[in-house]
Amino acid sequence: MPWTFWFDVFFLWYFSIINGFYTFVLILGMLRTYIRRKEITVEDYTHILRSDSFPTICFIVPMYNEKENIFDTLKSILNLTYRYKRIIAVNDGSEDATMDVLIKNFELLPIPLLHSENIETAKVRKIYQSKTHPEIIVIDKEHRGKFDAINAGLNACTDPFFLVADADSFIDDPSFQALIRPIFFDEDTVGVGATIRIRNGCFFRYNQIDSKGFPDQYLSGMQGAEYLRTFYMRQGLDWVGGNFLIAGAFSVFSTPLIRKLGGFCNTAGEDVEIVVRIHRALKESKLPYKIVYLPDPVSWTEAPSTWRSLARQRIRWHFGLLESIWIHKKIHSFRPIYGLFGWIIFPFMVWGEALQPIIEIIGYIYIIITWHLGILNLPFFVLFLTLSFGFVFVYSTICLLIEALSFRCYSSFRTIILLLASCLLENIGYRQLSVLWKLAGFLRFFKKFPKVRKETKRIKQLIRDFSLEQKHR
Amino acid sequence: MFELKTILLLFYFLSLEVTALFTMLFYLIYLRVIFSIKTKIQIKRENQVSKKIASHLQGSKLPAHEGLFSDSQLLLLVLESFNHRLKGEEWEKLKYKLVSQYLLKVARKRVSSFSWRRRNFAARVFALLPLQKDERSILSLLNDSVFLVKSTASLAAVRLSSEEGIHQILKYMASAYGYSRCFYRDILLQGSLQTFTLIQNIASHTKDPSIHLACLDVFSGQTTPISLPFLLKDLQSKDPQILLAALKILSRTLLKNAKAIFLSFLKDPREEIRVEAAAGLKAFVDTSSLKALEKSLADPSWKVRLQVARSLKEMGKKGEAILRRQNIKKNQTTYEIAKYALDFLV
Repeated sequence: MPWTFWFDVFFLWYFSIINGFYTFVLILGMLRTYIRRKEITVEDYTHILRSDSFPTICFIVPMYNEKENIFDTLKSILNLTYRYKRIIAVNDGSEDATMDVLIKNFELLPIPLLHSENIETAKVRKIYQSKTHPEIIVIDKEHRGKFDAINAGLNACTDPFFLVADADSFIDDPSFQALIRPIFFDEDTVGVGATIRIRNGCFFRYNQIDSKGFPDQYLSGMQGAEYLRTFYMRQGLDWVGGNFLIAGAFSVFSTPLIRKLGGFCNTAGEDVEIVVRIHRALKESKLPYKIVYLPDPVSWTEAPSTWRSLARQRIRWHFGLLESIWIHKKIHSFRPIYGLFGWIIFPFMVWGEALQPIIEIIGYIYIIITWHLGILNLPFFVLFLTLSFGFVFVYSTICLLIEALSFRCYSSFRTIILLLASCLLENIGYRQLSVLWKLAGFLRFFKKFPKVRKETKRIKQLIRDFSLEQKHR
Repeated sequence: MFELKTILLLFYFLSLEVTALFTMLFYLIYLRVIFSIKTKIQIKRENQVSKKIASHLQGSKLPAHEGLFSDSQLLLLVLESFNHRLKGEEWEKLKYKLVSQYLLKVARKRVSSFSWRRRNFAARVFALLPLQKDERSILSLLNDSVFLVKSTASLAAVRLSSEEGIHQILKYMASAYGYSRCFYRDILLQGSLQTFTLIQNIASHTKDPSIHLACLDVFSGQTTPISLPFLLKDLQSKDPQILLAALKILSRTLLKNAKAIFLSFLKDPREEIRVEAAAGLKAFVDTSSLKALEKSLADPSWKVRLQVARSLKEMGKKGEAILRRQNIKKNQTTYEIAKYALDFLV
């Protein structure tokens, strides 16, 4: 047997297994979306929205150089029908005119410190409250990163749940009402994630999104197709042990739990890390919990519109994923205590998500070498393309179909056709670039390894403290 | 060059993908066309039903059978939207006629249906028109495992003032916490005076402290004209949650010696209790309360300071005068909170 045989078998098996898993979770995702659609037709939130006795929901909006978006974002939150909301916007030492925009538009006045600073953060310069909209509080602090801004907001939060919304994200009214459901109706819920859609080219009118102009350019189309695929897959993951990620652009967490876990940590992917930490800490303490992923699209976010910013984002995402895997590598021990999350989700996170770019790039190199040597196995090559490229195209198209059958966020025919074209075109160029960016994420991980190890120790201690506290209870 | 088997396999894979893609593409186009037609028809029919109901409200006679109302799902949807907006005898009469003529029979049949959507339909109909003879059905729906059935049935039980139903809702409330507890509390708060009397009875007789706490929680959400004989006993409770709920009720009901109680709890070592005592004192605009609140303006807990400042602001001119006379040189903390209250609190 030629030496290439084993390589052929390895690549084909790897992609078959990963694709098989993706198909499985997509089927579950479809089922979940179908059930949710049925629920929506009979759900009635009127009495919740009219009620005078419901508690406040706290929105934490971390912002760094967001002078362009922050006014509209805060306005969109203020306009939500749910009456009881508190908005804590945290200025993470912006160097642009973000603070000036806020002071001018919301008539901010300095107020005294009205909370305890339980989690250590960078120095808070001043706290403001809006004279025109007293529900808006602005914390102006020194720059230390998004995680620190969220922690500063968390210190000021007095409500049982807080919602993290990116400063460039929009939340529309009908979708926000869907979010209320898991928090109000299931007491075990400690976190809620929601579907994110790209808003490049969309309009925001009377707190409703109009997506007729989407996608406005090649990059947003590519990312639009990518987001569709990812978020429908996550619906399925919810049924096989829970998600390992709640998108940082829009997530809801239980305030006391996150405080007990020490707040968000200094990692590139603070959103992945906190979710994995919740799974690990609560499973180790044997506490009941639920992290729910909503299929209803809730938040519309501004996606990177230049190649450079997209590259930066993707490198950071992959680096964050690798960091979280390293910090919580203990879960990969297949111990029964971690349940399905430890048996299915975490291994998938490692082998399917983190290592996939390495294997794909080796596949490309292998094809080039064997082609040069004249020993390329053509059937293998075609099968490789079918399994990796063809599958992604079919998968994305199915997601588009689910979208058209369920929430119909993209109402215009033009948008659907452009998204379909994006599903096909992303295999040429965009996909290969994504793989390269992910590899750059690996490089950054190795470069920053000492810092990762330091953070691993700190998080390990936080989890230990949490477990001890639970034991004493 | 290649084996026939391999070529066939490749051809099979590729043709499968291409077929799947084209099928989906055509299905997408088909769906869009069908969906737009269906939506138009649905809106048209909804309008027709709404117009018909509006004309009956204006006095036109209800025929023995109206063909437009034969779609029970659509009729229920329109009736619910009318019910959100309308109140009054005429609407109630028409609602009774329409629901009993077109929906109740279907709802009764669907109570034990296998599909949760059908059970939900039944619960929604009962919530729209709860009748005594349907109490058993409502109670069985209240025990449903699906939340969307259970929650709607609980609305029906409260509207019917069913004792067994209210007890069941209190049980749900007692076992829940956080936001999910608020959901049931809010449903109970929508109840009539009879509902509150039933809750009072349950609170007096239950031996389960969590149900008792749930009852207190409901009373703390709204001012009720009924007396609560257990309140004084609860104010001496060692359970901080019961004490807190009792203090909340006290600030709404205001018993004779309420001021003395609040004043004594303003010195409690637990900050939540001090917060509640400060909130209760705002109703007593006299020297002793104002003096005690001014002293508490320098409380070590920011939560207490904030509530004290809020109470003083709400006490009117006398309270505001206290806030204004705080001096930055004398005590910066009290000055800051007083200024905050004057600037922001309404």
